[in-house]
Amino acid sequence: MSNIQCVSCFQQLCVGGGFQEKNYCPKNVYPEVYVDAEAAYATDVETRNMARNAAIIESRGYIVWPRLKDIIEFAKAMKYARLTVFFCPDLWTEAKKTCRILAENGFTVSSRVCRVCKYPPQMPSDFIDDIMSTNPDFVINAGLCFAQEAQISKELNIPATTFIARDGVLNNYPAAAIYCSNHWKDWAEDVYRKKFGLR
Amino acid sequence: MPCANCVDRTCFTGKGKMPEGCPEKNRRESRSQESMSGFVEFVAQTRKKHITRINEVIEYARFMQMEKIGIASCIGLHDELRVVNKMFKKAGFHTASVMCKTGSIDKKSVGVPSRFRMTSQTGYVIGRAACNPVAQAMVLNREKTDLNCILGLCVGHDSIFMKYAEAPTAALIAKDRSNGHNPAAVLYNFYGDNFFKRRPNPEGAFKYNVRRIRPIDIYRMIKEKMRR
Repeated sequence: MSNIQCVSCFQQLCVGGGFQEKNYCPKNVYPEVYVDAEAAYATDVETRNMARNAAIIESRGYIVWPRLKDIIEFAKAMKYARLTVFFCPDLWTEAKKTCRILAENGFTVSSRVCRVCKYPPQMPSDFIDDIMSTNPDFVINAGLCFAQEAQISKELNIPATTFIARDGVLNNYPAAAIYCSNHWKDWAEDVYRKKFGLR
Repeated sequence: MPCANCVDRTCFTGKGKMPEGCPEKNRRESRSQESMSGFVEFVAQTRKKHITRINEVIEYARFMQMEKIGIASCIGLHDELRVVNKMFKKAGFHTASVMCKTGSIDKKSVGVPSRFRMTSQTGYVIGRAACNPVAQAMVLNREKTDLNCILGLCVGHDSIFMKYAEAPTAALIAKDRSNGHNPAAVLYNFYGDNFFKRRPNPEGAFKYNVRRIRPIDIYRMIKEKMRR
């Protein structure tokens, strides 16, 4: 079994239409996958519609819109009426504010709090029963633990996105752990020296 | 279920009233209590530890005895992917990583109109290759990963990837280009309120810096104009 690593790619030719003739490139190793993928876009109406609307919204608000605006516009383009926000008790105020903003934009919003780690505990399967009872079109995860989010994604059959990735230490900003690490600092020093001509 | 607008929070405090439509009112017994009892203890312990999200992934993969982690990343986050891949390898896992523009299918084949294709509406170059989350999920299924991390996919592509992936998936970073991949920042500061038209004018500036126009001032202005 070959080990596919897009990390070790250094040119990113797939933006222009090419690929690397190496052991790690997925286009080189599994060419038959891409035929299946294009067939999936052609046959399945929902995935084709979602991919089309996501590409349009990416170009409409590139770099300018925040993620919450993206979610609102995507839900409007896909004609979703009922949304559910699923959140952690640590982020109660944030969830309250997102629900208010979504309701102002004309959706019927319902929300459910996660209760896994409190006593008496509830299982991930119980939340799914509660969520599915309201017949939502779209589920928004506003700050769940990684473990809980992964466990839910197995059983949910409706489309879902994450709005906030919860991080207890870094104030819900997990990317900060990467930008503060020594790997990043060593790499960034070399790059920006070349870029700006510093010594 | 209006859990976010709950005032008393009876399910946590044990006091006060339950609101209408509360799911706790007539709760049935859970379906699978015995099989997942270890999972509940694990989540409760990791919340007490106060660790970052990247450490949370490693703890979860060790708890479930997973060996291979798949990472599906955006092409704009290639440098971040390098660091995350190093961190997982140091913790002792095998990894497989796929970028979002694999295969480089044209946006025309998905059905995107031509004015959204090469440059964005805001004036940046985005290229004509479409993101391909279906192929991303299919490649990671071929590699037989036990756990999939999403490293900054867009809103729609996120949910397509979750649909086609077989292993449990969750987002490690939620992408937000305007805020430096910190989507929650919209809720905390003034600029987020300003964006969603919740505060049309800066309130503090109106109170203290801008002088109010009284009816006498309008009268004087008209009088000046009449003189000319």
